Amino acid sequence: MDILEVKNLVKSYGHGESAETVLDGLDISVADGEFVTIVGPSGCGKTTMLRCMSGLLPFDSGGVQVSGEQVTRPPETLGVVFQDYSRSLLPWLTVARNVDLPLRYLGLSRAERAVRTDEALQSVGLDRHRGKRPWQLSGGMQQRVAIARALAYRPKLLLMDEPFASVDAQTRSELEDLTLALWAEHGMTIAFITHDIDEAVYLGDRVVVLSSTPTRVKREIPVPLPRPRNQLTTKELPEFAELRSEVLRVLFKGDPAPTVVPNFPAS
Amino acid sequence: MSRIHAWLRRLSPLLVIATVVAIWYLVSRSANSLFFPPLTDVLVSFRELWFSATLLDQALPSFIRAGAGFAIALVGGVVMGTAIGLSPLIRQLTTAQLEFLRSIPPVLLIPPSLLLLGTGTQMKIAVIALASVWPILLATIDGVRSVETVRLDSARVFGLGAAGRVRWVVLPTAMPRIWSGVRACVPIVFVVMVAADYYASSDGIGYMISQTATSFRFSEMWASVLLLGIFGAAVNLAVMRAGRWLDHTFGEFGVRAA
Repeated sequence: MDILEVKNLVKSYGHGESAETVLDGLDISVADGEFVTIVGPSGCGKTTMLRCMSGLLPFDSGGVQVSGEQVTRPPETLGVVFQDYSRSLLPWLTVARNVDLPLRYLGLSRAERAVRTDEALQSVGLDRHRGKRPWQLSGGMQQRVAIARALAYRPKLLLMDEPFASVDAQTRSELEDLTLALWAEHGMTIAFITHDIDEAVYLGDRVVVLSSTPTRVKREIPVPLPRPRNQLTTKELPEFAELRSEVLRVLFKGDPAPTVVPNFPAS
Repeated sequence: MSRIHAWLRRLSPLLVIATVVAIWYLVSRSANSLFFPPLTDVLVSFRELWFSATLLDQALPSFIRAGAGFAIALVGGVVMGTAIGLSPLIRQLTTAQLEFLRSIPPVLLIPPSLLLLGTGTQMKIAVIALASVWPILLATIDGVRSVETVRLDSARVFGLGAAGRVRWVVLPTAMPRIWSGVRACVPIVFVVMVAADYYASSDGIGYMISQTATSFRFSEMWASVLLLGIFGAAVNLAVMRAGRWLDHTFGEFGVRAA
């Protein structure tokens, strides 16, 4: 069964002459337990797409279903890890309280909340830092807090919006592997938005390539690389290089070809 | 050497105060003016007035009215400011009225309030609240509007309803700005408190000042002014300290430092 179904999603900003269509008939479906990565050129409507998919932004036409239910407001089975961890975490709450806060609103008992918070912080390796404020931690660790908050919420579907775009390359590799491990362990479904092609191929079962605005799906490329994946051995496979090139080719096909193939720097 | 400097720096405000008091003492001692009695007389009056039941009879009512008016302004300003800040519709409907009302000089509110609410305590509290609500209201609107979308988005995604978002996201984010409004409203509270005491009062610090001044009891008048000054300085210090704590707890400095 598809846990996320986006059908013919259209969203535009403004009215009349000056109206700008951002999403132009987007179709994406993600099966239960799948890890789908979504790449697009920078400036395409990724954030708009994410906000529509998570019920934060009303759209013009089409539909979004999560677990078979039409999304009109953020569903309880959905968690999101935002790119901007320094804004999405609350700086005046400790790490543990940031993770705990959403659980209060799930109506859980105090004991159950404590168990979930402890487990989540342990699985991202932050239980030693539970009493600190987010801004006392490095960027990578702050994003771990955001991941822990999502884990404790126990969503069926986790949306990740360029979550590692503003951390350094080594931290990024660590967080990628952490994400893969948690995905395997918790049996979640993950839709992962990124602009890094290596990351998209390395993580996903399937890469969805978006066009520039007005955004639609250009192509879906299956990634039949073996799991568990490994930063060294997976990326050394000739198939990895081929997939990477293919994604790149699709990404730029039809759009003005860059004279120098960009290396997509980490941020 | 640097320790001496540090001490000097810490002591220098006290030294300035001591100097001012000394000049006051020396100048007033030799002056023959009726209006400027010697400092020693003022201090004697100060002790007689404010270390006695007069403190409870005359000063306390003013401070209670000021406190009540300020509390109403704070709660009202934050509640209305939050509503206006969050809702573009309410904002659109109220902007013109707010601009009109806030540009009325606070003391001008007293005569019409006398007509509407009478001469009692109620009127004075209402006038103090009405005059001091504006800085808090405007600062709250500003602070509420400064909350980033991402912060509200993540709260919504993780199941926080409107009340939860206000409690956990909007108010803490707006807190430093709300407090800057509070700081701005403290002097207004004092001005209006004294002014309201001038009108139709039988007690209050402003009443004391006007009574003693018109009956040529100038050392008592100066003693009242002195009490007002000391009280004002103490309140200001408390508000500043609280502000520093709020800044430290809710300020975005941590975000910037990261």
